[in-house]
Amino acid sequence: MSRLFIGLIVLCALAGVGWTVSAGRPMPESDVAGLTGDPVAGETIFTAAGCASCHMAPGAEGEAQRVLSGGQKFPSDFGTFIAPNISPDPDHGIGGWDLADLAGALTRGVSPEGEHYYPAFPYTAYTHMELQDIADLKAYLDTLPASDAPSQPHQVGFPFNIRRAMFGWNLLYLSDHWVLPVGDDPKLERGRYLVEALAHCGECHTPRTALGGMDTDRWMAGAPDPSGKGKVPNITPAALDWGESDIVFFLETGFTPNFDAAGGHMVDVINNMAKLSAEDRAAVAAYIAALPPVASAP
Amino acid sequence: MNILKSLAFVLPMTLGTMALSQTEETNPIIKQRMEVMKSMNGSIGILIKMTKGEMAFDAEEAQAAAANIAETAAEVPALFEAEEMSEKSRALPAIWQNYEDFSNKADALRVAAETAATQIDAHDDLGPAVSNIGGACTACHKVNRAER
Repeated sequence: MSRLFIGLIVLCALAGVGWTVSAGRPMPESDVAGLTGDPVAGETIFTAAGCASCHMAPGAEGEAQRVLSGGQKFPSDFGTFIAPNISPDPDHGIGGWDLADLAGALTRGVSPEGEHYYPAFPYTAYTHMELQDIADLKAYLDTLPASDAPSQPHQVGFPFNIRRAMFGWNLLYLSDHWVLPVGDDPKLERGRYLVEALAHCGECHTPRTALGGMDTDRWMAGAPDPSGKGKVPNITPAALDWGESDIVFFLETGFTPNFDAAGGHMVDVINNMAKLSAEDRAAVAAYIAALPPVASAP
Repeated sequence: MNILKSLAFVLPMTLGTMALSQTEETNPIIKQRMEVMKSMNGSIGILIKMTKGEMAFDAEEAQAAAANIAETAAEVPALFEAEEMSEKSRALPAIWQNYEDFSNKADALRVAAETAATQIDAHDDLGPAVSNIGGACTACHKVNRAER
């Protein structure tokens, strides 16, 4: 009897420790103290990071793409994630957030209340973002139109609906290490920042492990399309024989060296890349060309 | 021995048919769609090669290429009216779920290409023409064409 009692106390204590440890930690205000954002610079970050591609309403075109009301669905092996409203609406969007709240979400995958986000939101890439860039991004996001469309709950079943489990997942997959070593070449460094941090290219182009993390040993080696149909191509030199100028042209116009026009989600990426500077597109191309070749999965 | 002989005879035939079925689309309407897309591919190729300087700039030839894209774009809605799909076809059901949107997107390409056909006078006009035509192609491919 007393053994059972002690056992129960130990179990409760462990559960308590686990519960405390697994809580998400928002970013302290002091980490972003003194930073002020420039909305003009923020627009470039916004474009490069592809925020609107996922957070605009499904099928939005033209000016409507600036309304980040959410609602697009992202099917996965773990359920369907629905992008939330991140417009400046104080009740349904993130208008009530301060800079530390946004920085915590982007770099730690944690809400201002300390709730873990799911990695359908690519915080494992955004974790590399410079805090100044996040300040600029915040200044730009604040200028966008507000939407009072309520965010919809994700369609995720047990056990993936336990957000605390993301604590363990983050231990495995949330890292501030870059994937590709680039030395001190400033062009490659810029390309890496654009590809690995902002544009989060690896999210679609890199295959995932059984737990849904990036298989970084097979970085950019192509993966099944998460929609279930087709494949996202291998863009390492083992499969992509384009020159750097071909990659630049594709990112600017959407046309491959065979004059085929891109389709699928890549179209959103191209629309963003086309708005960046020619130097930034060249930096992305230099990074892609510098990837180690990895053969496609059979 | 006889079995081996017949195998030697039948196997290449089977393989040949298999190879043929992988390269040939048998549905006539899908085949026609593919030919139209190929024709547009050839025309945009001319504009792109001129843009990149891989081909000498010739205003008349560039205008003709753009005009061909406009003409073929005008044929697209009718070619996709029938809900025909095949293993080779990359047409998505989205086309028929919102056929009006699909037709509008084809028309946007026709307009972009027609504009290009009247406005390309100098090499510098090629960049914007390719961008506008490309924007119309990808806007439609984004939702209506399957990825490989």
